[in-house]
Amino acid sequence: MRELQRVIGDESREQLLAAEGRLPEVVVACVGGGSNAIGIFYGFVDDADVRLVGVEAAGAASLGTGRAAVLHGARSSVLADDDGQIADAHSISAGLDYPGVGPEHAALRDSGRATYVPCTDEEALDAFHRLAKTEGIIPALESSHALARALDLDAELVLVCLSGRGDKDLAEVLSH
Amino acid sequence: MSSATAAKSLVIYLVCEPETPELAEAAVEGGADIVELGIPFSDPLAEGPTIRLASERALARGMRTKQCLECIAAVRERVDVPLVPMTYAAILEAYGYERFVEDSRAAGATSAIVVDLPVEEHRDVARIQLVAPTSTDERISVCAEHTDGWLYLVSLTGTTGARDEVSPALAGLVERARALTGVPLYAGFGISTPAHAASVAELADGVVVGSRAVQVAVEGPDALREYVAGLRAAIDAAVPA
Repeated sequence: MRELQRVIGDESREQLLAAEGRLPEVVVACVGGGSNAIGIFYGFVDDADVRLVGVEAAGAASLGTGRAAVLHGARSSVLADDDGQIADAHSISAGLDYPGVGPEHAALRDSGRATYVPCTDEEALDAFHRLAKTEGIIPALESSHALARALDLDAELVLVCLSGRGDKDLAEVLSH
Repeated sequence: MSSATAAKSLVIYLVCEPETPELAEAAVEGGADIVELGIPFSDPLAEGPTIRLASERALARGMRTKQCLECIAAVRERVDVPLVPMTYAAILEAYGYERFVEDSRAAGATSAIVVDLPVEEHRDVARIQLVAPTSTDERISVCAEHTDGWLYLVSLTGTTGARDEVSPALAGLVERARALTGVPLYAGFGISTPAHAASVAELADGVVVGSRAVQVAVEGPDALREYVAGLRAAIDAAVPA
């Protein structure tokens, strides 16, 4: 999974260097199961000066509020209770609505190489509308979480993984 | 025919619920040699619809790890056969692996089955290993070497649940496993009728029946006793002790 997804990181690093002549200060990606994020992070994981920020749905923050547990064959940080029973996750975006996460993200969190922050449904919706209005790009609701937290950053050059398009999410967005 | 002299073992699976001690006793009276006692998990990835529903029901009734260990102890007061807790790694991860072994043994359990705990992990937890038609010869050998008592042959590539026919993949799996190990081979997944049980007994050393037993158990101990007796009779007729 990581080796396939890291094409995102390798190509964006190469393209950014060609366009800007420097590395980004921060790389931001949404994290559900974590595949797009691990892919873009791996292009930059050895660039110690590049901050890696993963953005979880606030109601499905397995890294932010989870505990060590085993789900779907992996030991990772999982939304679970004291007995190890898996808790319900909630997110407006289907792709982030998952109580577990790829274990390498838990390792990146624990080593401090990456940080993980939450984003609410409302914040993601605001970011969705803002990108649509200002750039004419309809982002996936998943990616909108990354956009929302990217807006908070005090940095000049930020790379956001726009991991999907939002056509699929229009019914959901219009219902809010 | 008494189960003690039977050539082939019959294993019956039940989910830990308040009625389970009485049901397990009925299963043993019907001829079960071993009872697997499922500790329900919210995300039981090896289970089909019947055991998933039963697990959800048990959890809704408060059957958490502690209550399940109490259930095992209550079953132990009624029967003498081996009782094997069957569950998922998340339960032991939360409870503590060593603590689970100690407390389940104290409750009267024999061994364990931890469906999603690979053979390499937590070897201090003595347990029955599972292999499937997709397991390589190398994997079957490693699992057989570390298994506790018998090797669980998952007869098909899929989840638990009654099927119309015994999996055509089972015969080949038994043949491969026999060539690799001398440990007893018990087959499960998709075995529900006396005819299935009889044909599996001709191949393997033991027959594990889960989903259909869980379905019949809803009708009460008498229905379960009769159902298990039917399996027992078919097995013993096919392969006399």
